Amino acid sequence: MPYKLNGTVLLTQPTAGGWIPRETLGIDGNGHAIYPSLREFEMIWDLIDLDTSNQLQNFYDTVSNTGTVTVDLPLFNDLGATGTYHTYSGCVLREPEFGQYFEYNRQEAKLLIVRIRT
Amino acid sequence: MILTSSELVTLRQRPHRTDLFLSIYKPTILIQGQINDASIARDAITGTYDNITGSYLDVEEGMTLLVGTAPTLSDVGKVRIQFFNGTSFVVAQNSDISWQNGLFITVLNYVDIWTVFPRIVQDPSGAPDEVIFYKDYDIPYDPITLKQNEILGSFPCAGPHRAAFLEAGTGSNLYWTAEDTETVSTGTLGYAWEFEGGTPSTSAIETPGWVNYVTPGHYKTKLTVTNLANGGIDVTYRFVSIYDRENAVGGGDMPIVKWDMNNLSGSRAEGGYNASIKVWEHIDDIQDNSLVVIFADDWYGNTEISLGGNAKNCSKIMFVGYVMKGSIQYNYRESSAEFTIGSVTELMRQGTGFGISCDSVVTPTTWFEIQDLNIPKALYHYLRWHSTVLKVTDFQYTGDARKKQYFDTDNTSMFDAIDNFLRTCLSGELVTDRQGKLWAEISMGTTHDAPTIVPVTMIIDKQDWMDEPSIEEKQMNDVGYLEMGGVSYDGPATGIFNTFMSEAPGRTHSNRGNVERIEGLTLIDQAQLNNLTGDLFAYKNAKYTVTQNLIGNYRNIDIVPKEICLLNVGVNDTVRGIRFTNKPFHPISMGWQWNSEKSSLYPNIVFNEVTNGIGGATEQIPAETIDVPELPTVPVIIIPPFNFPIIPVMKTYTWVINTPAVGGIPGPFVSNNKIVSRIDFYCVDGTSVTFNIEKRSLVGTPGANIVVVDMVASTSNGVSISPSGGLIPNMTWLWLDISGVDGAVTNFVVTMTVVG
Repeated sequence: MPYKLNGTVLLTQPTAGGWIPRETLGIDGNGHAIYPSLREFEMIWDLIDLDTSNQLQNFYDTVSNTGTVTVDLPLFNDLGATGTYHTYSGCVLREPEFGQYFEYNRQEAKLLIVRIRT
Repeated sequence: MILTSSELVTLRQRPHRTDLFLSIYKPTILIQGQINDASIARDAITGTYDNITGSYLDVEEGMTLLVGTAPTLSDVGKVRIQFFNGTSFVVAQNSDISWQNGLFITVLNYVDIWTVFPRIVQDPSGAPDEVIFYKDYDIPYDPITLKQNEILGSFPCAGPHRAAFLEAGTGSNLYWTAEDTETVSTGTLGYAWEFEGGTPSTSAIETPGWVNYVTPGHYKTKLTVTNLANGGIDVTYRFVSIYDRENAVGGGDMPIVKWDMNNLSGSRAEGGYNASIKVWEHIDDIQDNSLVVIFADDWYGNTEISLGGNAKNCSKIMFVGYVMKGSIQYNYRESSAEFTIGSVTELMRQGTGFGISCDSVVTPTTWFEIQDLNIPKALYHYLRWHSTVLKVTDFQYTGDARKKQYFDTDNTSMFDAIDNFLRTCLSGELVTDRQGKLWAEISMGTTHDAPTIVPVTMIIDKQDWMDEPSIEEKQMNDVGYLEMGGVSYDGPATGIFNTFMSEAPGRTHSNRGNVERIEGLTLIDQAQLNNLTGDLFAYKNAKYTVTQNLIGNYRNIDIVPKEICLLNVGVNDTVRGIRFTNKPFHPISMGWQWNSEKSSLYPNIVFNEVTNGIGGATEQIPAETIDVPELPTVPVIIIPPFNFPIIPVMKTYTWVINTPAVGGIPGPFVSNNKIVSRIDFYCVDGTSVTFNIEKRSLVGTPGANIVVVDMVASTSNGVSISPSGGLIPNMTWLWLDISGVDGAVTNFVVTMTVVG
């Protein structure tokens, strides 16, 4: 299953994607790390065409600074077959980051999705 | 808030997640108009208006009137409404509004926190020293019918101001109860609720319970509490904001979304909380003193539930406060606005109240007398008649109703008036909890047997704290000797009062520490004072203060009302080897850290050790009666009679005659015996004037000359003679007799000096 944003398949699937380790808020008295309840996922494209970069930027501009999105991502803590994707709702997008142009393509694109409830 | 055991289990489920939402209450406009009063000027308290939009029928006393150069503006000022009808208005005393004909007025469906100033004027129909006292500008003190100092009401409690989301299918359900309302008199209380925007819309019971809201908007709830025995009435308002959820079908009325909060913190010493807010949204309509509610969605593990808060069934309300005056700043580069929010105590600090002085009597006959005054009555008198605090804030006094002979406050802020009164009389404090309720309570340090009687909120151990607790350990006493004193009063019926003094640790000071003296307390008896002194001495010298972060959303803990947390620290948990086993501490300050992206909310708490002191020692106060030794007998001194010497008095009599002619000129009448000491005389122009001065018993009968030979005045520099034997008897007329004028004399002067 492909990556999707608000039910729409990304025109170019990421080169890589992964769940970002949560930063601990602190350590409790028993030595256990205290983690926030929400997770983050990062998608990376080594090279992305302008249509896809435009699609990513439009997604962000649509929800802008206040809205949330649904994102289809690899299921966190997938116990079943590989490739299982899950739709996470109420997620927040960071603005996509793009590197330098290479012949009408953009290098090193990143999209960070935060506030994912797993 | 004390959680049940199952709630405590839920509290400790991880991870915690909290989403906070910022609500700024936007009061509706009841009526707008334009001043139509050519004579209105500065200091005006009445005026007429026209060009009306809206209705005056819902305008109530205490609401806010905006005065501006355009509709809805308050650039000219704002003031508290006393009375409002379809053509005219009466407002509170003011001198800071430049009233002008044509200005726009707007009445908000909102009650602000104001100081209320009494007024004293000379009674036009009474004696010059008789006055009329007005409790408010237009409410005279009435000892006959209204009896405002005798018919006392209650501290009405309706819970905090609210904000909430509409939930799909159910709307928003808010819980209302007045169960914390307490009367300062006796008698049963009656309740009348009005829930604007809610269902049911009214109720007549103490706890209406859940009220349902289905439409987003800003609403007002009104609670009227009536003492059914004496008729005392108190009214309080709460303001409710209902919002759509994000992405709600057909929705769009959302709270502030783009915002951040910097360190919501508070302490008992400060009397409440404050925080810095930053907003990246259009909020041009925000004003000083705007009501702010921060509300939450909470999860503990996978359980969505809100836990904590002192108000019953109001756990989603995280904080209630107000935009602090003068704190709104706009950053046009970032398109953001920053402002500070604070508890109601911060707002009370900004309003200076009138200094008052009241006496306790059996039956009040004048404005400065209160019937059988005690602590809660004093608090009620000030808050009810010198402020509008009770109209918008829950207030609870948790002490006893000990009697008080006098109640005095300085001309100071509303907060300091009450806080200083509590500190001076009870060693107490006025503190606001996070949800905006005012608590007037005796401090933990002067609560006898506190470790036993103060409720325990929770046991905190290693699973609850985050990172390393900081434990401050005192090795020496701060206070070496504490002396306290005060008065107990039996009431105006007997008028009996007793004075007490106590010392701790006892007659002998501790080896270390300062000397402190506290006086002026309102006491019950010597035993109570001894306990108080011993307890406070122990508290001031408490050994441990602990500062620690907790792992998550522990909103069941607050700085007030006083509560105990039992701390546990193992001997191997610190290099110092300190061991705490369910040791009682109480939170004195809390700071909350919130990360909106991580949805993490956790507190940093400073705990003070809760102590139990050994009783202080009674200090004997000398008895009022003093044995005066018998004075020795003083012999009577007989003074022989003697005549007072006559002290001579000098006087002059002067004749000034222009163009003198031969003849007589009458002079003054001499009523006492006089002796002529000298006669001075001269003339101007001509050659000379010959004259003498007669003594006449009757003004028309010639008498004897004072000088045997007539005197001659010439044009020289003047002649002076001292006639011998010149006695003028009393009851004598003086008569200047000119017997000759030589030449064209233009001016003739005679001065006679006498003594006697």
